[in-house]
Parts: sequence; structure tokens; C-alpha cells
Amino acid sequence: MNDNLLRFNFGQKYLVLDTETEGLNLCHTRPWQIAWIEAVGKKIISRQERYIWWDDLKVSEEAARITGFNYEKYSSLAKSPKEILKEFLPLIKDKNTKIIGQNILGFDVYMINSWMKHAGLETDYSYVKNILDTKAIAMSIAKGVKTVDTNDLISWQYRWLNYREKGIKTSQAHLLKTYDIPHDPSKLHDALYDIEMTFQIFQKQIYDIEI
Amino acid sequence: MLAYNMIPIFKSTYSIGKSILTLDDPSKVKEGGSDSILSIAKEENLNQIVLVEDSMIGFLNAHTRCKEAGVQLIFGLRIGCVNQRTPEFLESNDTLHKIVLMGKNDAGIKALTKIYSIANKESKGLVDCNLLKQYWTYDLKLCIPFYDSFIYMNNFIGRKCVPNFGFTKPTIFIEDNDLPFDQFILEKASKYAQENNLHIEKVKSIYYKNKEDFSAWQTYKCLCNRTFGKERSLSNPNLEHCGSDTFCWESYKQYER
Repeated sequence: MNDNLLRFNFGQKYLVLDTETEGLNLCHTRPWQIAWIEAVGKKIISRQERYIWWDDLKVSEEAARITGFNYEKYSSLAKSPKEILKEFLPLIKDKNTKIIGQNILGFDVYMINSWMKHAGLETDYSYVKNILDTKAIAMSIAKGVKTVDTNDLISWQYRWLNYREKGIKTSQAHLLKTYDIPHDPSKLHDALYDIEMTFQIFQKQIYDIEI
Repeated sequence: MLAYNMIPIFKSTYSIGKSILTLDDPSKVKEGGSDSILSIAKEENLNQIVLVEDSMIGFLNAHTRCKEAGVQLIFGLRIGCVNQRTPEFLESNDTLHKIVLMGKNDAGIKALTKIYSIANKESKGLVDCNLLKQYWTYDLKLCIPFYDSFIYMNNFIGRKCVPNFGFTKPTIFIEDNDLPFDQFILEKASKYAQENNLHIEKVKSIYYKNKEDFSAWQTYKCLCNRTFGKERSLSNPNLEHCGSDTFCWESYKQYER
């Protein structure tokens, strides 16, 4: 048995994150909410959510319906994009932290980049190498894979993220059901609730695959 | 000679669904209309254009326009390659990857046309390394594109491409387009080049003129990628990993500065 597996590493730092956004355009859509959890091993040590202020935010009707966007709440809580980045960027750039998210490689990394660009910062994807995407891991588990490519974890995850097979479901709702994790479906897409559920899924996944 | 050490590689509307740049005569380009590669060449005093297309259909037009404009055309064909042109490989995508064949001169273009014709006549527009070897000439140059190459496909898509480029020394194209996986492709492409003692060329794929044209380009891609059951809009274009607006001439110029 490999003692380096995450399931045995109770001191491993995790940052679980999710963004809620005004649309789904990977280049120009901006996030209006970011939520994150900091955890060590299985223990959650901090839960945070921030609303990102954009003067001209255009949340599409569909996005507003799905994410429960409320302009009054948003406008009263939102802070400047730069101010939140100042707090958030050191967390994702911590080399000792594993960054967890559901479809984070296929979506949230683009939203963070859009946020940075709209705040006048340069693109910086240096943190991507520390990402563990629960959607990619879920696909590999569904295909019966028991080990990961430890030498090249990112490419391995992209391969599974790009893999398509009719009938295989890897959505968060499906994974919650599969792992029998109690949840409130009406709260899914609330960023903070989403990441708590994602972290629970991840904690199950690390016992299904040698990672 | 280009003044820059990164090579801009244009694509035109002849590569359907890829570029919104035309090969129109600059005198016919209207304000607010489509941008022409020849207009860019004129504005920027380029004396040569590297054009890599997905078919040979636009070659004659490109050749004529470049001749009229006094611009040297360097033409390349981006074509699908499989392990073997057998029904098994042709029907599956398992070993499909892209290569770029550049014609160095008139003889090179003739060789390109020959390979392209055979591929379209016999094997669904795809080549394999045996076909390339059979018709290979020093008038051609083989280049490995940054995206969709066997390096990308094997590592990021999970394909099983095993090309045998023993008949030539390919050039490896590298790009930086602010995409999250660029750094990882670069690592792998550089490693392959080093292990096989291959030349690396820094290039920039150009599909539209300015960053502000990104939405027009994305709209065009949405129209060309229509599928049943998927509604596409600019707020939800449903184009995977389409997260960079730097595939343009403006970004090329900014980078070089």
C-alpha cells in the first residue's frame, strides 16, 4: 500500500472553490461570486464567499435562474475585483495546497482568468498544476481506473475530462447520489453549498482511486 | 524577411469554421466588412505571408492575390494523419492527429497537391506516414502544430497516435495563447523536440485581426458548429476550451513589442 496517498495524508492542505458567473463564455464571462473552503485533511478550517463587483454585470436570465442571483444582495455585498483578488490569489498560488473543484479545469480556471484580466492583471495559470478536478476523477473511476498517472497528473485529468461515453454521468448531482451523500438539490449552484458537496465527493473519490 | 522572431501563421475563410480573415483584394475591402490577410500585409508592409489552410481549395486564390500584391506566399496544408490508412483506422478517431505540410517552392506545392488528391480520393482526406514517405521530397517541410498534434492528442485526449516520421526531420511549432494547458503542451513538445533533435519554431495562429473581433469569430464558430439539441449564443457558445482572444494579429504585434 502506498503511504503517500491523499487518503492517508491528514496534513494535506486543500482549497475547494467554485465560481458563479454571468454566463458561460470562457473568454469574456465574469464571475460575480467566488466561494472557497480551506481544509486540512478532512477538516474544514474556513468557509468564505465573496461577491465581485462589476458596474456593468449582465447575468443572463437563465444564469440568474440557475444560480439564484439576487441583485440587491449582490450590490450590497460586492467588493472590487482587485480587492478580492488580493485575498484570493495567494491562496491558489500556495504550492503546498491542492486545489479542488468540479469541472474546474474546464470552466473555473477560465473564469478566474477573465476576472484577473478584467481587473487589469496578466493571465497567470501557474497554479493549474496543483488542481484536482472531481469531474475528471469521476470519469476515470466510472471507467474502472484504479490508479492515476502520478508523473503527469494534469494531462491525465485533461484526458478524462475530454473523454465522452454515452451513459456515463459525472455531474455533481449524479456523484452525490452515487456516493449516497445527503444533500438538498435546491441548494446546488449556491457556490458555498456546492463546494461543501464537492469536498465530500472528493473525500469519497480518494478511496476509490489511488491518488 | 519578417522583422519578428515569432512567425504569424494565417488561416483564411477557406478553412471553414476556423478563420474570419478573407483573401480579398485590399482595394475591395470595405470599412466595417471582413478583414483581409492581404490588407494586413499591406498595412504592415509584410513581404511574405505564411498561410496554413485545412484544404487546397484556397491555394489558387491565395497565389493570385499574393502575386498581385507583390507578397511572397508560403503555403502549408494542415491535414489529418492516422497510423495506417486501413478501414479500421480511417473509421475511428483513435489515432487521428494533425500535421502541417509546407510547400517550400513550386515543386513542393505540386507534391502537396498530389498527396492531398490521393488522401481525398482514397482515404477520406487523411494521410498516413507511409503515404507521406512514398511522395516525400525535399521540396516539402513537415511541421507539427501546437494544438491537435499527436503530442496533444496522445497526452490530452487519450488517443494512440504512433506516427513514424523517419523519412524527414519535422519542425515543432510552439505557441502561447494564454490557455491553461499551453504550459503543459509546451513542456511535452519541447521534450519531444529535444529527444529527437528537432528544430522548434515559435508561431502564432491568426484567425482574426483584432481582439475586438473575437466575438465575430466566436459567432462564426457557433454557426459552423451547429448541432441538434445544442443552442449556442455568445453568452453560452458551447465551445470547449475557447477561452482566449489572442488568436489575432493584434496579439502577435503586442507579443513582439
